[in-house]
Amino acid sequence: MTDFLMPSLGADMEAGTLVEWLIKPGDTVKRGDVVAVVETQKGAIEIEIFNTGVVSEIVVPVGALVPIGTVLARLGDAGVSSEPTRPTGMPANGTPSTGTPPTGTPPTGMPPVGMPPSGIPSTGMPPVGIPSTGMPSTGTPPTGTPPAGTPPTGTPPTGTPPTGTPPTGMPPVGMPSTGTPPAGMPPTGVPVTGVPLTEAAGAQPAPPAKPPQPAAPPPTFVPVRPSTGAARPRISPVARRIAGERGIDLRGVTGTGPGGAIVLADIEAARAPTAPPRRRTGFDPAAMRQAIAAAMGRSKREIPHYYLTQTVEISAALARLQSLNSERSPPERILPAALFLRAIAMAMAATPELNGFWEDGRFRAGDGVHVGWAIALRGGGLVAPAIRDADRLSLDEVMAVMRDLVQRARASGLRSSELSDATVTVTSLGERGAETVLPIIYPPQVAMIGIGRIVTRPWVVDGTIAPCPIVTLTLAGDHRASDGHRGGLLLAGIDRNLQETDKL
Amino acid sequence: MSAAVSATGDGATPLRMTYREACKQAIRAAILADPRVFLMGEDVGRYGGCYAVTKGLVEELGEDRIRDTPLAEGGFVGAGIGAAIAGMRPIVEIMTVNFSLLALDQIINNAATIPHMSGGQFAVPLVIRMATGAGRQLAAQHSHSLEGWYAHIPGLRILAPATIEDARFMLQAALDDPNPVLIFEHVMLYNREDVLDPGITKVDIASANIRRPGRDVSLITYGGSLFKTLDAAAALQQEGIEAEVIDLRVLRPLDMTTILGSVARTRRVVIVDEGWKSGSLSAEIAARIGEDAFFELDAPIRRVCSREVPIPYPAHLEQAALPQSPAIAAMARELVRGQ
Repeated sequence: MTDFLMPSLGADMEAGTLVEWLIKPGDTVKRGDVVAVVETQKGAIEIEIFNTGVVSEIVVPVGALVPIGTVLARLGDAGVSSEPTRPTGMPANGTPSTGTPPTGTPPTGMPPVGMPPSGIPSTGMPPVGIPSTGMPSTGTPPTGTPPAGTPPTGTPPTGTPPTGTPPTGMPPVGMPSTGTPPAGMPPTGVPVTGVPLTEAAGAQPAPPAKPPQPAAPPPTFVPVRPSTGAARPRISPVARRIAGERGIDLRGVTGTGPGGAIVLADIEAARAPTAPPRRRTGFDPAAMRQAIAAAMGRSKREIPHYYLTQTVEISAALARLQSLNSERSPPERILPAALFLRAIAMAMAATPELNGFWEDGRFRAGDGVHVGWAIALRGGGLVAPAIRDADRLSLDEVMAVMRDLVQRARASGLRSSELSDATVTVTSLGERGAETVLPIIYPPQVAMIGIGRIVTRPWVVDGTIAPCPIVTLTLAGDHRASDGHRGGLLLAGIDRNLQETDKL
Repeated sequence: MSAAVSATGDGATPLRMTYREACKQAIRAAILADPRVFLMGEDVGRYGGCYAVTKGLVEELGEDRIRDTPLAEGGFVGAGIGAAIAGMRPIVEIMTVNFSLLALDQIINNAATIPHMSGGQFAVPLVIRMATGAGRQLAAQHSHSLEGWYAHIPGLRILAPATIEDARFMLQAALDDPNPVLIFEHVMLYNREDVLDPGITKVDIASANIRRPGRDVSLITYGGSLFKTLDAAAALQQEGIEAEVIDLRVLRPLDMTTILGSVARTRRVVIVDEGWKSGSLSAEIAARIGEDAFFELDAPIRRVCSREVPIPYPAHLEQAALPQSPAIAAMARELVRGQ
């Protein structure tokens, strides 16, 4: 059983709206299949799955806005049509179950697809609240039975990420303070690991020793906001209480309070009925503007940019293009942009310090040269889908990918991996652009390369002045991650690649 | 002046007066109304009081009713307790709260306990007035705000009049209380002027007062910080934040009904107290809100208090050590706006 999570589609994405499921329980999926469509500020994105298996459960219904990291669906192993669901509560006799959940007919049958009716917790998904403390998310309830009569304690295992997918039968967090346990809540006195916060406030502190050990396999935790590291989601007390009373799932709520806490206003907003989901409506220009504003504002606030400029004479490169294109029909021709991108990708591979991300105060190298290609959209705005492993593609392959990306970007048909994978971004102003561009790095990347318009200028060739096609390349580098010397090597490498055209 | 003064509280014309004048009229009216009432303290008579509250009263009311004492707080506070037990209604003035520490034994071991230890046989209807707070460059031995300490003590009622109205009418209510009552007058309020509503002739000494209603955040304060807090609330209004300002008025017993009711509406709290944070009245209020209104809170409880230093003498350092309007507004803004 594996979980299929809402992926991050960019550094500034916090949540997305699931607008379409392309799979249903029982379907067999394999790595790379497009399984869902998610609406983000960048438009409707096709989401791929990274596991192979059989869909056992659709967890998030169409129309739900959920933070990244949320479990969207669950997969069983291939060959098993669907796994038995887990019981909705602990056994009524008070004996903590150990090991695997019972197979066969589960007590409450299959979970409803999509959102449960109000008040009935679906298996593994409490209707309210974000689990407060580290909880095992695998299907096996914890072993390590506490002695009978031991009050429940809320001590998560040491080092456990504080948020996670709730295990079967965990009580909803933020339940109404009626004192009556809702369905699915273990009866009082049943030893469980983790208690709802509402009770933890009054519970005596647990001894630090001997935290309950979850059974194998080790739990896989699903951070609600990976970008905030191990931080426990902050929810104000009144927000938690009101959400509990109204049956609002806090995992679908984005916090706007102090430190990003979920506050009452967020609950009120979540309560407002959501409009029926639009299907592949393309991007919302206003939302995209907001996304660009957020990313660029962050970049200029956080990133100490340095800029290096190199003027490159490209008569040899253009001559090679001409010879390549001479036999081709217009749709098959290779554009100068592809040549530049190829030259840049090869040079990036030689300067890994500029290919990657600045995260949590340190540089993390990219796992390949995935060049984000900035594409202006007709309705305004930009996207920069990634050309994966661009240094290893032939010129023809680069051109083919670029054509495909431009076409799909403008039709809002980009895939999730393409929007999140870029390790560096390139912008080319094209034939009608300016001669020079000083780009703003797209965080958390550490470099961006701008390509100006190709212009004909006097150039000294072999001691005489001749009209030559030249282009201005600009590198914006993150000075936290690299220094100008490295940047200079990159630009020199691009220049060299554009002269040694046989390598392209 | 006395002609105009005689009109106060008679339900006639509105009068504009200083807080100092309101304190003076309260003492004068109480002495005139009840032969058991008298005032004693250091320099209250011939000198007219170190903050000039009693200026002219010894000439009008005589040395029996306005009594100068030696510089011996333990002695004259003890004499006040004895007079109260014996049936008088003494008002004892201590120059500043710092000096009241010399009389701690009398106040805490005797005044606060005798009614209890005597099983109610002896009431101690004593009123002690004292100046508190900083802002006049009187340095660390004359500038502290220790009223929160007294609010720790069962058996005492602690008042902090901030408005002209409370300065004018809290004294009589305190005298009417059979238990010892301490009144803390902030030194920066004495020169404040306001209009006394002629329709008001008495106030309670049990409840807090919402001086400014608002829906977004509760600013809880008292005494000398009230007007800084009201200024902060006015500034916040310019930004679209409606702050509710609660004047505690009574520091013991705390009017938790008003506080919790406000918190339930606004769900955000900033406590403003010129006392220090550590072990303070602001800590007590925060703790009680945490105990009794936890599930109403939409943000952490915040406090704006004096820096944890003896109050400095230089004016700029003194001001820097005290709660000020911009800091109060900033704290409220952070709670309401998020960042």
